[in-house]
Amino acid sequence: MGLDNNGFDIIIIGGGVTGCAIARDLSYYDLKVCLLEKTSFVCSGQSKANGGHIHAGFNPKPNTLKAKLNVEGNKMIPDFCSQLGVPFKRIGSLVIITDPADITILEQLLERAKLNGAPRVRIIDKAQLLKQEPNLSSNVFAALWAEDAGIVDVFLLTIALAESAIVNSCKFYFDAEVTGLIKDDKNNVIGVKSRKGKFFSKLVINCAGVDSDKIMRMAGLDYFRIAPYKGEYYVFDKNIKGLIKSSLYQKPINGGKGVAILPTIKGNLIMGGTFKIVSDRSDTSTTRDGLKEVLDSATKVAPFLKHHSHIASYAGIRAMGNTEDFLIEKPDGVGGLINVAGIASPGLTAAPAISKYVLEIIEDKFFKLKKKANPVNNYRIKPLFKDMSEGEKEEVFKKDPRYGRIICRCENVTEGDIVNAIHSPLPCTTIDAIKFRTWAGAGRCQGGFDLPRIIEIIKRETGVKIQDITKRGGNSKIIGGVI
Amino acid sequence: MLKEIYDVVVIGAGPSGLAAAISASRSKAKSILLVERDKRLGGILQQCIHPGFGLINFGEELTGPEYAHRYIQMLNNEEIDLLLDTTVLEIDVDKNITLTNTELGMIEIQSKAIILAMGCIERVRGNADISGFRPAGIFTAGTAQRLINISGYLPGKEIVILGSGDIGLIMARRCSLEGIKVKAVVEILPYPSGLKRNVVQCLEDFKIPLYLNHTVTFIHGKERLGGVTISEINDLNEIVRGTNKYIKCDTLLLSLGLIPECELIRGLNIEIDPKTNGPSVDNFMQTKIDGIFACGNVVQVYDLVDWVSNGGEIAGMGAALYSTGMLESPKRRVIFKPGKNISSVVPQVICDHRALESQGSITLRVEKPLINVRIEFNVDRKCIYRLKKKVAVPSEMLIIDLIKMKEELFNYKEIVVDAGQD
Repeated sequence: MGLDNNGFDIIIIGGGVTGCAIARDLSYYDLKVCLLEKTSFVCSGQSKANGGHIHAGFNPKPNTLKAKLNVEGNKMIPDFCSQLGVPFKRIGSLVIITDPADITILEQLLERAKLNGAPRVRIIDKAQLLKQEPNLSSNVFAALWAEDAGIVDVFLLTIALAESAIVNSCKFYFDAEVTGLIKDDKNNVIGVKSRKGKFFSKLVINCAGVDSDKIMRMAGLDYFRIAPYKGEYYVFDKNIKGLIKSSLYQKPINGGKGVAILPTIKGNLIMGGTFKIVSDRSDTSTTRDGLKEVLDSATKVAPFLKHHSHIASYAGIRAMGNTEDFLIEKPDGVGGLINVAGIASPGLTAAPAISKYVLEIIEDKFFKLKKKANPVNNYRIKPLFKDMSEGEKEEVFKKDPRYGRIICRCENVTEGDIVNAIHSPLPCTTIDAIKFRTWAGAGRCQGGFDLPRIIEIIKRETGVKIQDITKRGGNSKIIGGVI
Repeated sequence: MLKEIYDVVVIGAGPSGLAAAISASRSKAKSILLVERDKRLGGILQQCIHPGFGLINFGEELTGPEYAHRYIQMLNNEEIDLLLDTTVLEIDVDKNITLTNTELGMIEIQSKAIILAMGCIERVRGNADISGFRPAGIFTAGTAQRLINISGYLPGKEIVILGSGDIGLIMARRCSLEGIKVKAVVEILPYPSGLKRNVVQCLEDFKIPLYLNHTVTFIHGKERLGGVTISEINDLNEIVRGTNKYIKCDTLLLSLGLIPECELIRGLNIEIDPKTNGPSVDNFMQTKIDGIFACGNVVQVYDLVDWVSNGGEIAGMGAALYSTGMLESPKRRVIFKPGKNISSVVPQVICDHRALESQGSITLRVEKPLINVRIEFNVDRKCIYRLKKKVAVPSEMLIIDLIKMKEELFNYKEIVVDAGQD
């Protein structure tokens, strides 16, 4: 497609949680902003594999941007989420050791917590640990306990951020992979070339995750490389709810965080991840060995996991930079560009703080930001029917009786929820987008019951032919043919 | 006009629920409600358009919809309230039922007795930990069957089927008949897990290759499935080196087995039998909670629909009697446990309801194929009953009539059923 688009003030590359957080903050200002996303929906790259954990701040090396923005982000997250109508819960996190010699590791993390300014972190002994988590194996020795860690639904959060930006006139373009940067003769970036045509800008913000180094190389910047580390994870059925109360981590190994066991805010449990560098950054395949590694490691501290059914497994690629810290900068020698690169963990936690930091860089080094005259303040994402109050449910049902029909049995998602998702400010028209938004198809039967019904609803509501409905855009068509 | 309180509420109008509702009515329950989440009656039978149903109950080989139709006709002769396109969200121990549909919204009703007839869900990819990517083009066999037979859509053009249970075999034939190329059926066991007649009529007749001792070890394709790697697996669940084989295809059907759909009873303290994954029941299909009955595939996965209906009939009778106060507490009961080479025994408890017509048979499955089989009822290792059969296979449920030995059974508290080979 060779559409030439009007000039924007700011182009954001990347629709993960980072890009969408920045889009939302910028959308309150008197600016023309657009976001270009490579895939067909938001939260589809690194963010998609995120376990939803909000870190307390004892992991990052002190005096790094990671440490500063982690701690700041953790403080900002509760309001950040409640403003958007996105549920958040502080459940705390534990780093568990089984070998008494590893107490030095916990002491190091405690020291980091102090230096990073992460409050309410302390070491607890076996007795206290088993009191908090009675279902752990008796071979645990001690743990680092951080009360301020929490959990959030990363899909819902990213969608809410995107919608908040969209209702404030931010334009989102999908299937819009950036293939090159357009520069003027003074080495200023003045636009991008993409699969949706050319876009022009005063400022490009590079939030391209695993490809953030690619964008930098397009600008002639060679000092940054992404090391794509794959992580494999299992998802457990909700019948496991309550067996673990906080997020559990084990001894950090090889630059990763060890195999974690994470309750999610939806009631599932995520177990993982491995930490293995891959040669192909789009290789999000799970492997027999990787999954075995995760299961073996996790069942050492939580043996009950062996007796529960996992319903899915997945893998993601971490956008880890070779600088070991977040790279958030106006690069020397290149104008019109801000890099927000290498935003791997604790990127989700830091998202509101990263966005604030980026806006400070814009004001400091680019242009003053003027508030919009009449922004849509405090956009809240519409809750699912099952999460509404009794009064809200009655009202919503009166307007649309389709809220009375259950489409996804395992997750109690109604037809009204799905229709709403399709017609949202950020329309969900693929199976995965609907799943991200409503959790339909993410339950025990993994879409076995609802898929045939959801494709009919998409067809009815959008007019798209059945054969053109996809799982996640591109060639991922669901149906092979019509009889 | 929907009542606030019913004598019997049946949840699910598949073969077991239909039979249960009819039987409850004939057993003089005063008010019955049948709730079904789909828009039509029949449950899974609607999509089972192949023949093979009803040989026992009707002496004919009917298709699924034809079999359902026979029961729907019987239903129409009874006074039964019907709610279609309605999902039961919750039930509690006091038999309050929360349900929802587009006409009434979310409402709560009460019942004296509840019959659970929700059937099963299919095992998913995640249960089998199949490595690889997560492209479009992966379906469970039942979902693919619904898409083809009800929606009129083809899941793909070139298919590999994982699992040689009956559903997988039926789908191999179904897909072939629609012009879909079925490249292979892959089975991890050393023998096919479906009925022999299906192996012949669905695979051999269509010249579809069957790979035993194999499974899918990698799924290729980032957007739409591009192919699968299958490998031979040894006894230790390890890949046998050098046996990887790539099969180009755009669709993978998973026929990995069924699990009873127990979402509704998770919150209640109904005992779930880890062998069947369904609620434990007695010979009136009553669960551990008085007044809550269960029948059909939600109790255990049956192979013949006729027995599903018969189980439903028993549950309907039990529920009707319970609702009119006529199902007295049993004076004696004996627990049946699966022992050597037996994977499950249903019902798990046989009760002695003296004054009433008792139901007296037990169903069981062997864990692996056996020849010259000895089925024994053992009490403290002493054999009190023995039955001999030439062949027993896991895919064919065995029914043992207990009526004749009823009196003797109640001398014991627990009987272990073992199967041995002579």
